[in-house]
Amino acid sequence: MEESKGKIGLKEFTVLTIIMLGLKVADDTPSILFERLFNAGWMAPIINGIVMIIPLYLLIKVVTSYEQKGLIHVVEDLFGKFLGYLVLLIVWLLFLSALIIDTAIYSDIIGSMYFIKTPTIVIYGVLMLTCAYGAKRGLEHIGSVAYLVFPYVQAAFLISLLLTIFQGNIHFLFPILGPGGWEVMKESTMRLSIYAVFFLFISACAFYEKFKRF
Amino acid sequence: MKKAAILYIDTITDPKSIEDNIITPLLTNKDTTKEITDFITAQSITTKKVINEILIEINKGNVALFVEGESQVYLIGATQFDGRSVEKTENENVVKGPKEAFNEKAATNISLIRKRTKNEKLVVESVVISKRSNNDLYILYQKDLVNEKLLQNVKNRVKSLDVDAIQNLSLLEQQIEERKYSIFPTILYTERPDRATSFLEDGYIVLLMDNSPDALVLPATFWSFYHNSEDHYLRFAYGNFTRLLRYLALFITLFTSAVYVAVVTYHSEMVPPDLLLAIAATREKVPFPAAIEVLIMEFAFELIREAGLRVPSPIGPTIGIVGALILGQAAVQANIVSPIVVIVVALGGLSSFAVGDISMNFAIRISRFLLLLSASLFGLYGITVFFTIGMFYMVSLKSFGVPYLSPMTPTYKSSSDTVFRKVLKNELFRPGYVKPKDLKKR
Repeated sequence: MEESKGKIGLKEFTVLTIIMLGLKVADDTPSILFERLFNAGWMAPIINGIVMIIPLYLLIKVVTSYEQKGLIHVVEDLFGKFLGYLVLLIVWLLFLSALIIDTAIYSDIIGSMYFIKTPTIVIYGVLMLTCAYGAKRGLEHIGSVAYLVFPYVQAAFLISLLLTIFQGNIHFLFPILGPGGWEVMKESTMRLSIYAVFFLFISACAFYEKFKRF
Repeated sequence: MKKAAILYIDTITDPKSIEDNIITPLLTNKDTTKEITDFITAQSITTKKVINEILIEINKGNVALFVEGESQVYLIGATQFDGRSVEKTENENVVKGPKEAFNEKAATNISLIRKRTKNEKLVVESVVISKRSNNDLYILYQKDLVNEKLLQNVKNRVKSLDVDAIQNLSLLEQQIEERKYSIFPTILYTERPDRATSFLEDGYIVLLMDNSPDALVLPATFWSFYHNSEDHYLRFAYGNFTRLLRYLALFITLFTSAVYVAVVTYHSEMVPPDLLLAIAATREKVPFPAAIEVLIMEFAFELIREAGLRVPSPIGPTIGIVGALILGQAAVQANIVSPIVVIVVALGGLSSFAVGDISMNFAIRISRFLLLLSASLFGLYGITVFFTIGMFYMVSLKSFGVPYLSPMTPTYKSSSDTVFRKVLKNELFRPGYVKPKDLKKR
């Protein structure tokens, strides 16, 4: 019996990426974007994505030239022991703070929507407990769970799309540039955090079954 | 003229066979040059010299023949254990398809399987698994399909057992499973020979034992508990219709009462105002919080179910009357529970019968209570959290090295017989997760 080695398949990987990107829609990213860009907020992710291709391409290029090594090893190899460690530490701190802010926002959303009397820390604790349980099982199982849940997430989004589409007004798309072209460009390129998850994924690419095919 | 004696245990041998096949030939034989093995006409005859080995054979119902002047003993097969004949299935009923079920004789069960797959590659290995009672276990597999490592794994696990007696497969199942405290079963238990055979033909291993009207199939995935043999006997559309029903029923069982409690307690804004008023009006006179109310009803339902199972059959109909009248109507009139709760619990209870396998049924019923508890603590958030943790748990389960939710995730090459099934023409592969020697079915 060929035991699985904690690696993650293509289907699971794709679904995990989509869900992690989709999460950004559900937190406060849209409200931040719309606050600055008004009705041009919908353009930001698109411009964002186009801009993101360049660093992403470079990143993949670097990592693929090191076969079967995670980004962590690549960074260490490139910058040397000390500097590499420092770079990794900074990146890790960045992600950690982003994670803390994100999860805090989620707990706050849950708390203010449904549990007004419950202390936020309890909600946060339950959330973290679930995450810790999942994380302890490993990336393979996280991918599997994501794959299992994906159909339901899709169904939920489809239903909410169907319910809200009739409330939409096509004229809100215009003027396309909203507060002005320069503003849109600036805001879009500044807020690349939407696609930051790609960085995480590439750092975990050693766990990915068929990375060479990428 | 030589003296001879026979030794056997009266209750487990067939006296007619002893008379006809042993005594009569011995008395009537005139030819002194013939060996004893030549004129005894019983179904089997062997010779042994060690006392302990002879004792084991006598305990199995064989007849020992001692002949004067010979240092060996003839062991003649004349076993007759009493048992019932092949009868209809009781738990896994089908409308369309064979209705034979296994019975308590392993020999009959093996013949029921051999009847369905007439192939010399089907191997039956027998192992003695207990020390005092010498219980036999039969390991069945298709030699040209089964994965050697899997087979070795199963054999090792069976051989490493150190117990005095294992009466039947239900007890063996608990001895050889991996996670003994887990609420999910990891070995399939079926009473249908056709089902066991189709698993054998996919490269699985089947265990049979005397005294067990069933077979153990391993490795088992979540899907093998969710499936039913009739899914494949019915035509494509009908089979998938029952699958869809069962799938919905599974979710209804798990979630109705939990969602009701969550919505009424925490998320009343989710309910349309008219319905909310209706619920509030019926709950007005009920003194308990919704969670307690549902818990009472769920508990009562489980009681009726357990009582219905154990009650002697002449008193059986009483249970129905007590259950329906007292719990359904009187409890509502006495304002202990609201009518909506009765609907919710009855719906969940009814749906829980859709998953036929007894072990999976228990797993679902227990998780229903856990979901109810998490819903009463944290509403929909609690349900989500519990569901996610449950998913992680299920995904991390393994049955003899096979992931519990494969082939859905992690993916393997197979006929993707999971939630729905394909047209038979397109079911081209044996399940890849059991790693059969021959993956293609044709």
